[in-house]
Amino acid sequence: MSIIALENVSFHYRKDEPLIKNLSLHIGEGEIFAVLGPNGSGKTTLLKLILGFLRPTTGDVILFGKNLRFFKEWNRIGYVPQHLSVDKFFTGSVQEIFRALAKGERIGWAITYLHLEGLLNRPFIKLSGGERQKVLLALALSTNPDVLILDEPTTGLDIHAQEHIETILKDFKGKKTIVIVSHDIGFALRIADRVLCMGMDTCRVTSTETFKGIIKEIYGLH
Amino acid sequence: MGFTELFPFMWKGTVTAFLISLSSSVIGVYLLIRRLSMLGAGLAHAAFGSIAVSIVLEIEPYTFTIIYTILLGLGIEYLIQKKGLPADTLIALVYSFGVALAILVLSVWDTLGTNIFSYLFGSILLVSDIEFISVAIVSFLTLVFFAINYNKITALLFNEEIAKLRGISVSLINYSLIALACANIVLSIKAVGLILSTSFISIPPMASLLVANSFFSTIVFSVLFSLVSTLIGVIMASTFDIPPGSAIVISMVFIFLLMLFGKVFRRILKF
Repeated sequence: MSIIALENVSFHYRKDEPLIKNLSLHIGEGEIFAVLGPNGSGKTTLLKLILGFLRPTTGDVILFGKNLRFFKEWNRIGYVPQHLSVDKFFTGSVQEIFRALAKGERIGWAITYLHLEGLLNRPFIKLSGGERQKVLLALALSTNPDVLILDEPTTGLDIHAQEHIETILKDFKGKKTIVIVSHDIGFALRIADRVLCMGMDTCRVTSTETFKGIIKEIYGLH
Repeated sequence: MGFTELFPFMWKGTVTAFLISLSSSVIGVYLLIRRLSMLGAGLAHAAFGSIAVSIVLEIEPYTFTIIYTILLGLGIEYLIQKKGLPADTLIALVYSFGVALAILVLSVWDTLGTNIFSYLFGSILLVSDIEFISVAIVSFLTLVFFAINYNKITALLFNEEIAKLRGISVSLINYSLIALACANIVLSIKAVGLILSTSFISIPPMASLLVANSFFSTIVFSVLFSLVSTLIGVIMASTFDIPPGSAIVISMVFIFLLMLFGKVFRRILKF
């Protein structure tokens, strides 16, 4: 069974200008699936369609076999937004954020797992990019979700923080279904099983190996 | 006469100013983080037009204006959330419309001048029983709503999308807070006048951002700065016979500058 399925999904912000056109894809259990493409290609829109923040113009989004319109088990999905999306005037500490959004024993596990003990009393906006990303990941993991959805997890991070996030996500390979939206091709190719390329005439799903071949062919890279 | 001698005559106005400064400074933190502090200025000027119309129509100005500004505030929130229109432009629109409406009404009914002036600059010593009760109810509702939904408000100010996924009614809380903010803005007109009414929701929260290191401490400092400014303002006004609204706002700005210089000074000392 597909954990996430899109059946002939189209989405228009403006009439007669579809951003996503007749997209069908199936993401299986334990798979790491990367969505690649340039700015404005519809990556974040696709993510918002999966999370139910937007409704498709036509077609269906199916989560755990249920049409999105009837899906209620949102604690099975952990969402990691971009760390840059938090307003710089928000003074909340990490502890306050966890108290507001994550309850129960599982957040204790996530804090230990991601080594966040020393950050709890610090304001979120004063953390480094890598630290923020780990806090957001801990929030997403606090419900022990079956699916993790990450929006640009490496944007604005230094190389060490990128490697750290990559290692953490590789730990979950085969255990959780992971969807990553990114324009970092190298990161996606190192981690993903399959890749969706957006922004071409038609969106194409390929295995990571096939995609590497395409990249080599186009750019002559090794 | 000093503050203690005058207190029996001005206790109602003083308590009104304290209540409104308490609830406005709490809701101001929410507005500041959402970059909606100028909503105060926009709606206060929209209220100007509404007050002028209500005087002409011989309707109780505060009740009419509270309903009018709440509807405007909810309309602005709807257009920001659902239509993606920029908040600052919408605020400019209601600001201009309010002033234009007031000028139009004043030019046609030129006998309104003296009535309108008490709203422009505030008259804390002349608070009526109905105004006092309205302020008490709105302050109580604001504080209770904020306390009950404190964690949800923290969550949505951090990230609305995560809050929605956790089942928090983000829209309902946002609309409720905007409605309460509108009521606070209109009622603060009595204390400091509509020209200065935005100060209660913007200056204390901004000063608190300079010293706070958590969301809770931001609210605590905002309340503290607001109450201290109001106390200083009322004492100064009664001692030196100056307008209370101006004295309160100047105290707020003084506290803000104190916090700003304190922060700069601490940073210099670290180097």
